[in-house]
Amino acid sequence: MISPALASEFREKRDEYNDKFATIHTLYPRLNPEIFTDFLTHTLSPIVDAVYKINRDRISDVIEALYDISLVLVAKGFIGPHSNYPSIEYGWRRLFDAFPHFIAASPNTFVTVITNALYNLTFEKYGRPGEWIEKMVEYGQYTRDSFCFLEMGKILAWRCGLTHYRDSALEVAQNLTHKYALMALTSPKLVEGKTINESSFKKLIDNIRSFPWIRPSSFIQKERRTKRLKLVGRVGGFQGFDGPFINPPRITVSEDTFIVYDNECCFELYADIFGCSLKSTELREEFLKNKSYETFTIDSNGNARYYDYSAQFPGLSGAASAASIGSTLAVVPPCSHMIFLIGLTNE
Amino acid sequence: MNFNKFKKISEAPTKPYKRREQRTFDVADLYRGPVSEQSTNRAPAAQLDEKLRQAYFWIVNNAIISPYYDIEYNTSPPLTFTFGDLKSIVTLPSDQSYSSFVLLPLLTLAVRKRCLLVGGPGRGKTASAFLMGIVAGYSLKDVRGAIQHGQPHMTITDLFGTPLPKDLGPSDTMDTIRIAWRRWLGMRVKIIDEYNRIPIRTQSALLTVMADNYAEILGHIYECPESAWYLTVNNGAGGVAYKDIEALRDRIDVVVKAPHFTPRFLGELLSRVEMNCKPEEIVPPQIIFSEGELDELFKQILRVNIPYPLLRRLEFFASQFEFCEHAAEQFEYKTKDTVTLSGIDRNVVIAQDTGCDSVKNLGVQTCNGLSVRALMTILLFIKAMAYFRGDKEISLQDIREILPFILHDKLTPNHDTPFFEDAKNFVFRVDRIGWVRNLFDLACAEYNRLDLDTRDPVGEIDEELKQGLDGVSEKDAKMKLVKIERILDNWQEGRNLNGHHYDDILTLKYLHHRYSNYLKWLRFAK
Repeated sequence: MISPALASEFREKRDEYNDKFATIHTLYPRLNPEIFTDFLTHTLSPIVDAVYKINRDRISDVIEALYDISLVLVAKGFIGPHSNYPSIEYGWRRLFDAFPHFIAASPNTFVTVITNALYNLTFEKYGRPGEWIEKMVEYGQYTRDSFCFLEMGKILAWRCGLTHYRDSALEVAQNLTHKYALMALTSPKLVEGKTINESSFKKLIDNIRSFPWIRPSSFIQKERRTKRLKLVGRVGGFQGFDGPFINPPRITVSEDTFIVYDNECCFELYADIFGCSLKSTELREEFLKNKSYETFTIDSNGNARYYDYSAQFPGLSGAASAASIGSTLAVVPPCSHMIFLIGLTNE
Repeated sequence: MNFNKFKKISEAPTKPYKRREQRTFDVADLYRGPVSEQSTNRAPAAQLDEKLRQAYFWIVNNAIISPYYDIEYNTSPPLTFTFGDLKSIVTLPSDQSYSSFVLLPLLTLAVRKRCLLVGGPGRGKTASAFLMGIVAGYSLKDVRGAIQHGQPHMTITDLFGTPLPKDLGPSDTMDTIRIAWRRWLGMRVKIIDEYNRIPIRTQSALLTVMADNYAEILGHIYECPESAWYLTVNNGAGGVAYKDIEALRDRIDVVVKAPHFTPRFLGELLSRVEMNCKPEEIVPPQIIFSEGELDELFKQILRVNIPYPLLRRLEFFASQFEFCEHAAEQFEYKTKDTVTLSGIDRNVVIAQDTGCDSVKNLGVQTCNGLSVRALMTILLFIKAMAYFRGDKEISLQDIREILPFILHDKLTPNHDTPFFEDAKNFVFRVDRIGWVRNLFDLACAEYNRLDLDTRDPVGEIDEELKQGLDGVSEKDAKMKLVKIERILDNWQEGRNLNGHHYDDILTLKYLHHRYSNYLKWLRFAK
């Protein structure tokens, strides 16, 4: 049973919508009418209802935008029982139901960018689209401006596993109104009722940049926790076990980025408190030059030292390869396909 | 009717950029993927500089027919051609260039300043301002209702609002009277059409809003939001025109001329007539900014960097104009402002000065110097210009192109000086933009000749002071004082006193005083 508004729109422009379907079906023969109908009924229809309740004037534009994009999604296999992107449909239901006013204001743009975000978060191996959706639903309650909402979405995407966007997300935060940036970097509950001046905000950003293994919320909370060196993450693995490496990888640093490579492939490694990601890149000759690291070291017994901080990691003794950037040390133990990360953290 | 032509937005990127060799990840890619926006090309939602450029190109291609590129940029030496007896030069710029008539109102919207549109009747001044209202997100009806049309009987009540009649009778005090404020006061785009047809008394009230952002009636205050202002001027041919009050004119930040219409583009006008459409009715939603976006745009503009060497050039330029040696005995008062306040004819004062080169000395060409307000406006607009071009920091060309439009009414030429009597400079009596640009070029040439990028002793000492006085020992402070005194001693030998020297000497006096106060404090603390 579809919503009355949707039914009315289809009745009035029956031929137009049928033509659209036919055109896409020609381009994508695997466009399954049953899957599409099911999507219209169970996902699209409730969204239309939600928009209709708050803005009837725009309902025709909204339906057209949702319909067109739905066609593309079903045709390309992103929607359906066998889809590898279940978060797209889930995200539509949660986000579009929560924010019908954003859809009404700019149906095409808003639906497009959210759909693409859900796709990218799912596509990235270490992305956490479910977490992103829930955070967007929570954080989006605090703004009526779609621009601010989407900018917060970028910062949240970094926090939900797309760690290669860290620097770019922090730039977004610097350009965003402080209140929303602070919310996106920490949480709305921590920020409620608080204001922050320009210099404190700048200091917060600097701290986040300098301490990738400390949660941004720590910098604004009064409670101070002791920092220490700790095993903070691991990434990689043998190809046979769904990892990227055939051989035990080596690790080096180039232009403030970890480079991890074996005989066949090469990746840039991005890692922080919010996750790790490996991004494929070309192996360049300069990567093969041995880079020394001075501030963060590990000896053959697994004793790691970073300025006044030290800790022992017996499992990492005799490291085959190691490199550091700031307060992160990446270590590959002997005969391992995994990269272990030691970081300065307060958790 | 086919409006598809008018709905086309320039494809991003509107300003081609050199791809960086180093791979970087842009989080804006989060919103790009297998689904593309259906109707037209668009910039990603948050690339506001791209959106601003798209707005510019839509306006210049579809709304205001302005096939001019008077704001010129070059990546390589441009081709030039000369025509006529006066050897008029036409340049073909080698990089993306712009029409000031469209660009400057858009930049005014971005930085929330005040733009005066001048030109003959029917040249699109009001239309341009109207479009800015639409681009700022207001509806046609809102903008139409908000334009304040200057007319000789306009009163303060017409402009601001009226007390509610039902409150007037029973009220014993002003506090209980409510005011029905005019809606335009709360808008972020304010348009005053033919402001010189507003009576002077009402202009004074308008000044309060323009200058201080509030309106007052019967003791009630309405605080207006930060907004972009667009004022147009009636040339007097259409009826009564009042003298605009100087303070109001002084509040205008940038002056833009509406150019003439090139008849070669008559076909475009014909299409407009035949389609019976007005550009403001068909502005694509993709180039309309929300209030949040305009706020973010402004913040991003503020973050554009001004490199120190360029700031120095601007300082050098600005220091050319205020100095007037015969204006006073006290060194600090040797300014044109002192002469103006005295009421004496400035030429009487200038005639006392027989030693300076009245052609090369740039200060002689002007009647006044630059105010703090003018300097701040320059800084803001050059940032906006660089931002518009997608740059993270300003370039010399940004300053050169923007400066004349800001100083158009701020720097008053002194036509009595020999500079303007020279035949080749006669054109600058009329062409204010060209004159200011020429002033800047001459200042830059002098700056290069003096090699001030590498030889700036005042700058060195100033930079040391900016590091702070914490930890500066008595010995170091004394050395600084000696250094300053030595510079002043060297300079006093047989040297013409020019504008920039004057400001440097005052700066040295300031630095000397800071260090000597610090020295006294150090000794006291001991």
